[in-house]
Amino acid sequence: MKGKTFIVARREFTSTVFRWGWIIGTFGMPVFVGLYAGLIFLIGSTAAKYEKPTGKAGVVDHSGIVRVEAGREPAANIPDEARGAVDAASKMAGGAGPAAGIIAGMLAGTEFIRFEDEESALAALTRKEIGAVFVVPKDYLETGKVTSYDASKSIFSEGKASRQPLRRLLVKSLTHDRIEPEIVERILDPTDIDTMARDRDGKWVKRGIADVVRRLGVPLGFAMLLMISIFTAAGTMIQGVSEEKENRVIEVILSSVDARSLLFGKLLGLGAAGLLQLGIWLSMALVPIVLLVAGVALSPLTVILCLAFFVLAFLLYGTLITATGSIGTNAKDMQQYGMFWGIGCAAPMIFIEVILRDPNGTAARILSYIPLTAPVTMMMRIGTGEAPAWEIVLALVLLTAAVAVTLRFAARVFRTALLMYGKRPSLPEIFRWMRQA
Amino acid sequence: MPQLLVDDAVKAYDGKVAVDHVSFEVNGGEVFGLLGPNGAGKSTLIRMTMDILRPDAGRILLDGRPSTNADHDRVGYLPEERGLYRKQKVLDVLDYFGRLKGMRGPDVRQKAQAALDEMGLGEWAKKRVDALSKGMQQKVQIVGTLLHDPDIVILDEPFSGLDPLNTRLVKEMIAGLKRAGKLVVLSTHQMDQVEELCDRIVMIDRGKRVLYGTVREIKKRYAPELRLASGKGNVVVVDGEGDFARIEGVLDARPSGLATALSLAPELTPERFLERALGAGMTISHFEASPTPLEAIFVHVATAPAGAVS
Repeated sequence: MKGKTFIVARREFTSTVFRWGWIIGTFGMPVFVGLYAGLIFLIGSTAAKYEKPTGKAGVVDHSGIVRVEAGREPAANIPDEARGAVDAASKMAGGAGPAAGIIAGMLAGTEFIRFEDEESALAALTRKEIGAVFVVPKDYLETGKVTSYDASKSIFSEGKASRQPLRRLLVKSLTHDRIEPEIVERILDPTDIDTMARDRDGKWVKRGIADVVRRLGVPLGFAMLLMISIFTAAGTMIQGVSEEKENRVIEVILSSVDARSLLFGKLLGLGAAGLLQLGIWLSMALVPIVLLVAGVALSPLTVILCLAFFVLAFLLYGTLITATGSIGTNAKDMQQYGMFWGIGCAAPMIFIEVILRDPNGTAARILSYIPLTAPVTMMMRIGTGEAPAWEIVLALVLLTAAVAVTLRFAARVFRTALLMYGKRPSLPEIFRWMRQA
Repeated sequence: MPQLLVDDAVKAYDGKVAVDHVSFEVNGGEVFGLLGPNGAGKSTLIRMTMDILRPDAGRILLDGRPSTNADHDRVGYLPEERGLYRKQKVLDVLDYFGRLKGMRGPDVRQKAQAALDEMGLGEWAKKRVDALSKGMQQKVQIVGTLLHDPDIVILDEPFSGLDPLNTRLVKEMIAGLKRAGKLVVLSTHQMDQVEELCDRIVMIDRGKRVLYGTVREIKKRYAPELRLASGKGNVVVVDGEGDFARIEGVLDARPSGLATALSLAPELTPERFLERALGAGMTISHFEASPTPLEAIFVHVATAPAGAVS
């Protein structure tokens, strides 16, 4: 019978990957993304010719308070742990027009230049030597009012980008010679928090947000891909099965191969088509770029474990969705019935905060032992690096057993349901099919 | 030991009995008719024979043992409604069906091509199924049924959609299967085909077996009963010189081809009619004592109240 499973799988695979829809979806996606990026670049670089940021702002000070020093004032305090991601983002955006200008501007900050009066400052603004002009009035100390002249109306204008640097400049000027410079720095940037959390062995270790994002990138990516693949493949599967049911090919097929081999073969074939699609996207450099930008850590063990949960979850949900779908009398019913299971797959996402905050807590553990929620839950727990090895193994064993049992019962429902036309079975009837050999 | 034995098979769906203690046996080299009105339980019986469904009670044995998955490859099944992938090429569909029936290697396609050539569909092999006419699709389905050279062939309405030329082709094919010693189960509503092709028949009505035996036996058994039930006598077909309608005991006369069909009163046997006609000086060039057609028996049995026939 294994031979027939393979024959079914091969047919499902070839009839899927040689469909125009699939080919266009698979090769069109990266091309589309490429074209989209190209278009943004084109528009950006054209716009950049006219709106090249100067990185400079003029200050006209009537209050006598502002002390313009050589050098730049940064736009924001970027935590060390996020610096890598920001750098990568700015590298990626390099040359991409206004976006690059804004990011570069945020990182470089603003250089302030003193002007004696509004006229000369505004003349410099017109000549595009500077990007903005700030006028500090005489009564600034009482009112706090500052007037800003902006070269552009854009929400990403230099005038707006320079506000944070201006704030720093004013604080420094106001406190000059009154408070020690170190204290001023702390007033401007009072906290750079290191978060400590217990690891698997109960030791306190540094655990930053960026660190969590880095390690969860792969598992969360897998979880998202899992959901996308399950629904795409289940859609294709149900479409194929409903076609076979409607044009009665199923009678010929079931006279040749038992329902379990048929169901399993179909899942393998469609699963292989899904993995091929993933492989093509990976090789077309779509995913690596995303991973690189996010600064995600790629641990081989995490990838292997996620892949194992991915395949098992695909088989479990594929089986459930197809068997449930086969009860429907037409393609529309079948889709609706089948998609009922999607709730189970997405459920752990609702608990994402609970699972990530306490990866070995009761909720996370329970969700790991229920085969329906185990895949996504375990992917998240593996990502935190705190799931004990024995629990990972146990979850894999339970999931494998669930796949075997589900396949057995689903095949019975599948077989009987496929031979019924026009009549919707009752729930007790479906349970009776499951009991029948 | 019969090649196929259905022994006291019972199958119910949701409490409704579809097959109710049905038994019959079929041997190789035999064309066996499976008859019954729509919804009688024929499809369920066919599916149980092919091991798609299992009986709730009773046994279905192939060569004296319960069938296994391996027996799938011994059966060729032609479904009542066309079961082909409409958007695929003819040769690809046949290749898939052949491989599902255990055929292996590169010659599956060659065999399929040869079988299509034989059916006169050689040049359609690379065309999509939905480009073919209904009759052509039926022939492709027949090729798919027989490609793997099965021992047991189950044909559900094989003549539907076929023109007279192709009907003859399929009849010759069934005769060929019989000569080759194959077991053929033929399910059809066309009683003339059953009379022409089947050695033995079983008729199912409301899940129960109502007729079982050779076609000759059944006709012999039911002819008197049917005549009584209809209140009519024999029908004879005659050609010759004379006004046959005037013979005593002839109730009705109507043209039948070039000859005339006469309905006789119950007491007038075909032999007595002949005597009277010749005695009256009429000449007869053609005479046929028309026996009760199977169709009349089918209608009689199927319309009888449940349990009235055995």
